[in-house]
Amino acid sequence: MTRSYASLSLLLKRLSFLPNKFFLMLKEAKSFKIAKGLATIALNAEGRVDQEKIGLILSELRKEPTGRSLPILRSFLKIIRQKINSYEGCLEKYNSKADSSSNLIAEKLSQTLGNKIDLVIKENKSLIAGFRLRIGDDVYEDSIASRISRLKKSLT
Amino acid sequence: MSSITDLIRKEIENLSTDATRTNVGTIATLADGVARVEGLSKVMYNEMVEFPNNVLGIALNLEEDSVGCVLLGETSLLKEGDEVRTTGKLLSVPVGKGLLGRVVDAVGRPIDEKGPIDSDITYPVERIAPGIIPRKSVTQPLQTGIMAVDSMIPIGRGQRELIIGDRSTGKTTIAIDTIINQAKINKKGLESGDPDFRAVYCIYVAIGQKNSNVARTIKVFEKTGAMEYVTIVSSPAADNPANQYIAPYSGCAMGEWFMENGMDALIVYDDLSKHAVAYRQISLILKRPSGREAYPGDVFYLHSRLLERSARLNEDNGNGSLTALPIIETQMGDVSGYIPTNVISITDGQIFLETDLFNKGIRPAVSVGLSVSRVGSAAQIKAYKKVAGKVKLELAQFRELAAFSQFESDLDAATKARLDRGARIVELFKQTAFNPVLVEIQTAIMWAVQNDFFDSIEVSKISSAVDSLKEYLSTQGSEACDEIYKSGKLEKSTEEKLRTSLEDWKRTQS
Repeated sequence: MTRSYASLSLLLKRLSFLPNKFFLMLKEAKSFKIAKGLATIALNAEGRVDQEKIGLILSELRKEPTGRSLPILRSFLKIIRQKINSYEGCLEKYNSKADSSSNLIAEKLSQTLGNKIDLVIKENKSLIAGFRLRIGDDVYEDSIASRISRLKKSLT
Repeated sequence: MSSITDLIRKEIENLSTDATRTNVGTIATLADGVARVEGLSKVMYNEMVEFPNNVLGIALNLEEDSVGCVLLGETSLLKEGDEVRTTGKLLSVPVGKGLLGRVVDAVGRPIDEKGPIDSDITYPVERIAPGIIPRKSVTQPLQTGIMAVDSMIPIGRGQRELIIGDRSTGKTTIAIDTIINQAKINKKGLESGDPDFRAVYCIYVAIGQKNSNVARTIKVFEKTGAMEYVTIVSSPAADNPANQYIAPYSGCAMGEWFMENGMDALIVYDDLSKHAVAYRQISLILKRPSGREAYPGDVFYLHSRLLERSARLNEDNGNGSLTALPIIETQMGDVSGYIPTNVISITDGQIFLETDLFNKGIRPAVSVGLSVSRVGSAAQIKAYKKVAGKVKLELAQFRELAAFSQFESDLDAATKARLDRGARIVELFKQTAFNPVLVEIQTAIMWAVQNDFFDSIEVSKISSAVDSLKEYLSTQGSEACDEIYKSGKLEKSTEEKLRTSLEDWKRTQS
């Protein structure tokens, strides 16, 4: 925790040292770099986003002028979202009730990806049958709707 | 009816039932035919990506937090937050003989309402140009049918010859004439049944042109019977810049198929100035750093990688060729512009067209001094080389002497003779649009000039005399022309036959 605080203050110090003129020029690139650093601090030992640390980072960023903190916040949000998506999958099914197959999928995914995956189950009637799983940027799909769409593509 | 159900049944049987895995992203911003997509972490450079409503795109900018994609198609249906999928494929277009006689868009989809394209083969739009080993030097001629070009700036199969000039100087006309001439030669060659005859198939790529101009070009090809050997790739001015950017590469892939299958092809890029402008637009929207005239740093590579794909392959690689005629439009005759100098340095020569000559009625307005073919007489048949070898020099001397003679009242006989000869050659080279002349007839006409058959004809009447000679040679005096066509040489006996024919023609003139 102490190490995290030190890194955070160092990062923000680096930010405040940037002269205004250069800050405008390098805003986007620098903001992304700083946000990336903040996102590393925001993770716990398991590689998951720590809510407490996020709160701390946000309170520190609040002290900065809006013009400086806003681009960092935008990038920070994007990176944090990506981090959460990497261990939190969304399983869409015709029926939203959790069953053994959902648990099996979560278990298999955790084994394949090497870290524990949490699954959020959503109802999607347009699938007709089967499932659609999104984890990070990857989508695994085995549904009737996708098969029909593939057939449509091959016929047109 | 049963065939349709059979087809559907077959498709269902072949349909993969495995779970699919795709990499997805979401549209963050969308502007001017370019989408910035968040996600797509596994996308490849130049990979085809799929947007909703069957809109395709190409991943051009792979950045740390987003991917810049150019869109190929209707963008008005897309919105922020839409899902984008990778396809795992590079952008490909249909290729093959099924494309001949067709008009397609930048991604090879038919736009001529003649039904689907009859082709099962596709080639990726972006390919690496043939290396050094499979290539061969350019030796086979590619006749344009334009006397001024074929005699002074001969083009060979596999060559890249730039057509450059201001607007309305006849650049497209030269390209169209060349295509019409290929069709003429193809018809004659295929009718002759010569097993060694090699037809030249043509691809005309219209980039950023008015639809009316493209329609006119199609009409000319149809009227002259050339359309059956031509594929038109059209990306008009109303098309989005991504399509205009991709169109020449698509056309090139279509031409490469002929080259790689041992055939000869000709591709016209009309024009690369507009192509560079479309690429500049894309690059600026993608926020790539801009350089001179706001063009991105890789604008040279844009054209060099395209034109390097035109080549003559050696016998071990099928002996095919792809000849390129890129067109560049200059501003106020300035050849030292950024894009013109780039393309001049890439190509194997240029045909420079001058506005002044065009306005004087000298059409095609080929500037003898600035035009050059680096392949030279290696790309001429022996007979033509024999009669046209000195023409460029004679014409250059004429231009020089004509400038001096304005201040001189007394001219010696030799100078006068040179001026006379030059004036006659200038008249001789005047040619109406879409009226190419076959090489054997060109050879006969040039032989007539070299043997003083035109000396007694008034300069103002040369054009009509040439027309009558062309008609005479293609009807009555065809024996000598046939010999030139078959052997490619000008033997003593052929010369005698030609002399007899020309004397007969001369009698009809007096």
